[in-house]
Amino acid sequence: MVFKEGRIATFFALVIVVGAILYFINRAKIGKISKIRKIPGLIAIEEAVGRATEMGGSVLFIPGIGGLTTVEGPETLAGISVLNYTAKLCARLGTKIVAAIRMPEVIPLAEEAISTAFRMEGKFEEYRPDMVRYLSSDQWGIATGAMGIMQRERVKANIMLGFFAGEALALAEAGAVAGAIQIAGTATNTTQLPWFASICDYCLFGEEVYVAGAVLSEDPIQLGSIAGQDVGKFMAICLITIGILMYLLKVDWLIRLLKI
Amino acid sequence: MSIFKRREIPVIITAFSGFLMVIEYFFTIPLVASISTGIREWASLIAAFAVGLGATNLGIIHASRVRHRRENWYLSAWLLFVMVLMIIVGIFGTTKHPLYDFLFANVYSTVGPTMWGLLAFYLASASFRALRVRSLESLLLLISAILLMLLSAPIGGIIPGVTVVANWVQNVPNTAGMRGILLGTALGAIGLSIRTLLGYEKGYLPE
Repeated sequence: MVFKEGRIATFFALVIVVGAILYFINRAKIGKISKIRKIPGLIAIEEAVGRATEMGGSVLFIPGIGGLTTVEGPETLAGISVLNYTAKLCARLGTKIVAAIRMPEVIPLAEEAISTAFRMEGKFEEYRPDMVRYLSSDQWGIATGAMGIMQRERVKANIMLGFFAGEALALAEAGAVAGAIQIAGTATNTTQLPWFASICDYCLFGEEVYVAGAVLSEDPIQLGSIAGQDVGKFMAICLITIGILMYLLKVDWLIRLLKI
Repeated sequence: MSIFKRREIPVIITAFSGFLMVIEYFFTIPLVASISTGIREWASLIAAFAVGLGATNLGIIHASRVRHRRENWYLSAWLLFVMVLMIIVGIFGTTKHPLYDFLFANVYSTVGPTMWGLLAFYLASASFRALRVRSLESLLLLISAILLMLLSAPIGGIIPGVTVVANWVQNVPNTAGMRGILLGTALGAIGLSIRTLLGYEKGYLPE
């Protein structure tokens, strides 16, 4: 077994973070539940679905434009977890939900997330296959399709969570024009965050997107894993602080160590 | 298929593939490398097959709309007509057929740039919404936006100090903030991956 060049330090950093996550998961299993801060954007989902119900409108959910086989996969999965939660609320309140999909491989996951939610709420007979709509594999194809749905189907709650690119601005503006309460979040493509933050009512940044499913599930084991991530943050803060001091003292062994 | 199989089998496949990819990223093991290459090829193949799933989804939903004469059913009919036309021309005439080429160049290729062009107007309305000063944070956002707009505009170069301050805003606080978010993003992705590989992330699995 031979390490690939330049990946040894990364491997041990990963081992520490994963070790911490597993430790906190095990802690949660024995009843020591970590306290996780509330994320306003996630709390607002219930309010958004409730508002759409009161106004007789529908809920549009877009789990990003990323696929599953690319680097955007985790963001898409995070979006699907929140879709499951949103669909449960819609099933409970009898609100129409539509999931707009770009990448075809996401269709079965979205169908499973929504049908499971309706089954769990005891309303499986209300589940319709057209709740999951593949619009187009083209970036602007899904954008125009979703913008059309917002107008035609009186969308009053627009939830966008996953990987988004240039179409983020157009989607958020269309949602605002439709008068929908908007909750949006994206992680890796940080250049889209300013648009979501300025146009949408609630915005989830970076890490918040990935933990959304775990926070909404209220499953102690999943919440424990979030606490484990904080060890990684603490490690990063320490490394940054020590790195700044060493840089000022013109000592470079830490940089060389991290590059091995 | 029982719920056990429907839940456990996907988790086992995900865990096996995921851990193999992690091992392949860090270590040089020929056997693992060849298996993970195979898995990646399979993933691409399955994703390609999923296009058929997408077309089926589109066909079922829009055919149903046309059949039941729902609101705007003629748009669904048009979509189905264009989709079938492109498929027939693409399969029987190949992608080099003049009709396919015509449709691609004159319809598809022009729609994308049109949407990019529309972004300019969306940018204006979004900026109007974002740059209203209602708090200290929005004031800071407005000042930063003005500085960066001046930096990009020719007039910025002749106003003393604008270039220096705008570059500082872009390179120091902006970059620091973005890197902070990316750091959290990376850790969040690791956490989500661990939950998915161990089967704790259940949102996409049947209950």
